[in-house]
Amino acid sequence: MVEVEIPLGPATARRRQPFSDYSKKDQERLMKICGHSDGKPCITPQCVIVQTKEVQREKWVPVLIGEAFPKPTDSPSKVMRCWLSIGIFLYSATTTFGWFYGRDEPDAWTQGGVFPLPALIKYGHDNITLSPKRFLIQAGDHEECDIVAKSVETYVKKWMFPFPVEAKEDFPEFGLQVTIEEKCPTGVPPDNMIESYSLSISKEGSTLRAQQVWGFLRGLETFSQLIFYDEESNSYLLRTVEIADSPRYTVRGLMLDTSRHFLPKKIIFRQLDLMAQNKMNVFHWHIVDSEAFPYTSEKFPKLHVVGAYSRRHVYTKQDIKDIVDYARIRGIRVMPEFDTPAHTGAWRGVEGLVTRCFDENQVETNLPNLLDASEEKTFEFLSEFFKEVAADFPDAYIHLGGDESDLFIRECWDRNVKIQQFMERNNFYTTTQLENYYFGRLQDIVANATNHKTQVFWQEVYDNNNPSTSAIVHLWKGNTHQNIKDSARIITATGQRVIVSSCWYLNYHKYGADWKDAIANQIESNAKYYYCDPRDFEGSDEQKSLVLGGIVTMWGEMVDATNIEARTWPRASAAAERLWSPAESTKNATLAWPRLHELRSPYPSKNAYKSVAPAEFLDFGWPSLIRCDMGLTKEWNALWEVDDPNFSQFDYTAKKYYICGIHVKRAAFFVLLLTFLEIILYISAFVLGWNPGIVRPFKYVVLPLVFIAALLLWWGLRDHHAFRLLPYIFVTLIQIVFHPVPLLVHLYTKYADKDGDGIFTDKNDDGREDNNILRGMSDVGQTLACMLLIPVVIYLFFIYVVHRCRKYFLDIDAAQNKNLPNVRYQK
Amino acid sequence: MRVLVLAMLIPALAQAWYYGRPEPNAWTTGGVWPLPWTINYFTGNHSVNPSRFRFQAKQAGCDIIDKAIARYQKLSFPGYNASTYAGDAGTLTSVQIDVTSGCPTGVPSLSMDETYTVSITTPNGIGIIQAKEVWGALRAMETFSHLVYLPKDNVYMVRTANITDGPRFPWRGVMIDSSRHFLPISTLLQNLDVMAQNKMNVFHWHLVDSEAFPYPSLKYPDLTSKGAYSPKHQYSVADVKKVIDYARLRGIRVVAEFDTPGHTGAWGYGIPNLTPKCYQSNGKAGMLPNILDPTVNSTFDFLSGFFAEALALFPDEYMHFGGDEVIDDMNECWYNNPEVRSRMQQLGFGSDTGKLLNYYWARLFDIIDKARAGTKKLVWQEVLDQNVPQQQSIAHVWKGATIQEAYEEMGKVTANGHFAILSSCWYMNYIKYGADWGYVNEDAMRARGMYYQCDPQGFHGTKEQKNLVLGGEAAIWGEFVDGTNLINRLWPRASAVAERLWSDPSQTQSADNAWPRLHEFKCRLIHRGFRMQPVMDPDYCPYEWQDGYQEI
Repeated sequence: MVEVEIPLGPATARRRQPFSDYSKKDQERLMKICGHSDGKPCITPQCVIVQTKEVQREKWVPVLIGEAFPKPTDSPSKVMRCWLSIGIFLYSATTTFGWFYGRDEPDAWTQGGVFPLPALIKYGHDNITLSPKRFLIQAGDHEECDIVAKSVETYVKKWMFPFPVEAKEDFPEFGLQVTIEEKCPTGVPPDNMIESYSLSISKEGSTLRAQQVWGFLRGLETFSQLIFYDEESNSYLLRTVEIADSPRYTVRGLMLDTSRHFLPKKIIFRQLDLMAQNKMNVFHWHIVDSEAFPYTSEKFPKLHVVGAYSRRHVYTKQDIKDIVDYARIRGIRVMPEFDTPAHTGAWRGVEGLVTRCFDENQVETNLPNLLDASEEKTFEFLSEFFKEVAADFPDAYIHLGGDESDLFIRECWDRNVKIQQFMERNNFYTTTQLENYYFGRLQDIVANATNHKTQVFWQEVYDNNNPSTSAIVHLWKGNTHQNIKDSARIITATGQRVIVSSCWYLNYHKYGADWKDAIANQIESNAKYYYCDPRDFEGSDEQKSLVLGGIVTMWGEMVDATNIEARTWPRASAAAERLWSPAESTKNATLAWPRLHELRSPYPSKNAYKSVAPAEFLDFGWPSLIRCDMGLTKEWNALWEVDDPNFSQFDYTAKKYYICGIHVKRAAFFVLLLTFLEIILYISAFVLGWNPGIVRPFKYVVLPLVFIAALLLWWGLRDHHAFRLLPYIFVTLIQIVFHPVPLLVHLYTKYADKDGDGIFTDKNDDGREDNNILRGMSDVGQTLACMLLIPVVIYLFFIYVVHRCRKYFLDIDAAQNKNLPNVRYQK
Repeated sequence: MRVLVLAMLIPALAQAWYYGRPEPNAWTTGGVWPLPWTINYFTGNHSVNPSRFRFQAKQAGCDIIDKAIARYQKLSFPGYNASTYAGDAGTLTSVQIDVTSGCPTGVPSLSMDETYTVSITTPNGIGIIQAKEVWGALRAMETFSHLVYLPKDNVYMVRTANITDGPRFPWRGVMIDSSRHFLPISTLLQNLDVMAQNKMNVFHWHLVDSEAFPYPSLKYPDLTSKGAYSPKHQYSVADVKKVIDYARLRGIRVVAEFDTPGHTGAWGYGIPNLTPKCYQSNGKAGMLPNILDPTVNSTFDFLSGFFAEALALFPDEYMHFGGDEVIDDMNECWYNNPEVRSRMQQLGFGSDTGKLLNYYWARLFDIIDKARAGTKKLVWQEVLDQNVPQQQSIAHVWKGATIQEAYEEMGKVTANGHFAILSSCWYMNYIKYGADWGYVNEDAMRARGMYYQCDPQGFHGTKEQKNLVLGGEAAIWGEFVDGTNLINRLWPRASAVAERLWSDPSQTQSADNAWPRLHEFKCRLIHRGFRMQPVMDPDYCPYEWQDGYQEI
């Protein structure tokens, strides 16, 4: 028995009917949206299938697309709005660069904004007052689940109510009803964990529904972000909202390097907390490297005794267990990396494991960094070692590294007589063959030792060697977003799964808001973190789904406990939103900033004027952006109550500007083209001596003006400030105003009708007949003929513009008639 | 390529070559940062039992010394735990502090004497610190604390050494901007501690700017209430006094900066008619108001009231009056503003905004002299570049994209007979990847490092010119720093500046040689509880930084 539920409005009013009652067409549509019909539960942005306990049945719940951004309640009248928006536009256009000294306003905040942006979010217009004392999360049986119990405790005690308030007993009790379909999981989060959830908060009742506890964790984080502190009433307010949310990518990770600099356990805990608050789910632990070996092995204790910086710089078995468990409570997987055959200098504790290396004079170097692939005991060691690793790290994946071995092959394999002899014996002609031999054996050994965990390799192993098709390729190369997307496309075309890190090398820090802006003298992939979408290539959905996600890397050369947090966050948040949220609703970092600002440091609502006392974490941002970015689009959209970001949007990074959904630059180019055509026409007419009546006034007045305007326009489009759009307006105004003028001049002055007989002649000033191609037509006819082509196109274009704008106004009216929830406008 | 060159530089001197990088444990034992002018180590070191060890002041009752003793009793022995102490009774039992002159009543001044000697000898169990003034004794105690090392956990040894030391420059500062982002008092105090441990002696407090006005004016409360980001983002008078006193006890001067006439956007919220509107040349509205209006007397009335209050609050003989980056504002807010322009003409300046600017400075300095006679004036270099006739002022040099250009600026300023302080080399807010404290030799201000190599007297000039150089300041502007990252972004990068301004240049030419000492110093401060970030590739400290994060 399948039921369909439309969850619009309060819960009681929801329409619910059996699936079979839907028309065939609707059924097909729903099936298509929901992706599958095999009865397995799922929540996608468009639909929820729930399996209840009593009856194994499915409920289809299509959720309509809601608006992503809050809107104002008290909007001015329509006429007023029109004038105001024109005013705002012109004002902004003329004063842009003055706003806040060329920077963002320091007080761009949302209230109850959610970061990363949920797949679907629809705000209601009420807020609910919360009292921390009279606040309950009702999870029923699930309260016994340690993940639920501990996370609820963390959120209620620490994260939901950061400002102290007096308990107010007269507030009504608030309860969040939690429904989790599946039982409490016993182990760590699996690689196919389901993180979808739906959240409904209204005065009638509030529910958080998830299929698995992992979805509950994400929903709880969202819930906590909907709470904001209102200084005026000294209380906490909760936004009313309808949310259906699920992640876009399944792997959303952070890589920490504990070898180059050691990171104490508590610092790792903090990063896990921050990851959870950014809805990230994979902690990629680059635990050992050339420099140090902080992993403690019981079977091979000399590894860390010799290889760790000191006996203080190690993770004990208990530490590892604590970290894996801490991550589990937050729905985070811990994927360890043991990088071989290169980057193994610190493995020198096991004798003979790291091979001897020689410089060009065959003098042995003192710091070998490559394993000895010629020795059988190397593989025996690896087999034993990875058994132990598998016991410590229960995650479904294991990262086997494999990067940069080419840096050491010459020193350690080419110049090493023993290795050369081994290669000869086995008929290996190149070291690549030896490397393939190594990786082939390593994959088998690890598969056996770890009970077939999914293996992850860095990009080179795919480029140079031959990993099994079940392995995952971890991309870290590429200087531009296009390079990276191309790599992803090419590799996934062969059916290999991919995780991307190339876009997010956060260890390369620099001056500026690199999370969104390009930075001078830096390669593209070292900045603009918000804009790198690895699935943004031409390919089938299946192929794209092979891009599992991304991992933000924070290599350890220049970071340790003192600065890792400030350097990582909230720059990594940009990647978190890219990997979680739908691409369509997160195109613009400028629009994301107020939400990110709130995530960085929530601020009391009253007097929320400017910047904020630093929260314990996070590091970045100008005092703000260019005011016009915010002012123009936010206020403009708010006036019209339009939630389509394309209604008016100025994305300076992408150099895209929309008004009424029309791409301004393209429109301007269109008008520009017509203008130049027109100019060419008149110049030709002038040169050829044609004299349609319109030529003369144009020759002296309009032509130079249009020409200047066109130049201005061309110049204006070269830059990206909003006020540079002004020439666009100028050109179009001239086009509108001046086209009728010559006609009127022509018709109503004696200028053309020189002999005053009321008949327009086609004689020049000197009385000579001119060779008008329109000879025989009256002047009116000639003029109209000249005016017909280009001006009509331009007028048609303006009709189209008005039509597009009208569409938005009609949408608004329709929305108001339906009495959809209006949202309080947040400053 | 640059990386290669860099990589080749390091091993040239350090035999410890570690995957192309310095060894992670390259550090000295009992090395002193910044390097003393003369330091002779002896063989054979003392053990110390921190519980039994005492600093003894020969002249009792000086609060500066007494509080420093309490401080260094802790700072000298980081991580000390009396209950688990397993070391011996200690062969060094005390250090005597002998200060020749009396206890100063006020704050330190530019002429403070910071020279000292420290003598920790092999046979004698009593160390001796000698200094002319208490300020030297403070520096000596810091030096002593650097001689301490831990052979193992909770066990302390002291290097034996004779040290004679004094600063190269009297002005060794850090500039901090509390306008772009607000900085909590606790962060400022922590920074003063780190400064003192780097033997730096000037806290240049860039209090207010275009963005916000956190400085508390009691005479003009609207300035603060309207100009600060919010009520939470302002200092109280008690806060400011606390900072001044905290600095005094560490031998640090607090030089406040009230940047005028430009960069005054946040002043205009609270005082009517102070900052005129700005226009583009076509008459359209221009940038936000950001410069004072010198054509009306109310501006000067306000300034005399304001500075009377400020000069009473900040006791240092110097105050910084800013004066940077006014050209655009002069054009848009004076010249293009019809009202200001007509008043300019009435005042007889015609259309010459330069004259108006000179008029402003002349009147401002009159006001300053009236408010507190003898106040010495520090200004950004433009004020003197533009020939405003103020010969006694100090030029704060901040221009120059490359070190060479910075030197040229220094040469120009001193050739004109002005005292000079250098900041151009040390814009710590411009972060970049790599060990920029002593490497990263780019030719742009934002990309360049080489903080250690830049020398305020490195320009070509006469001896008289070089004598006009008072020192330098590491500047960290606030666009991207707040309480979350100020300390670790600034330190220990600014420690390179500290050594350049304190130590003998002939002994401190190589960053490679300095690194092991800086490494030990950095780790010492981490052990003391300060966030000193990594600045030299993979390394570690015996005791890593831990915060008191409470997990749930």
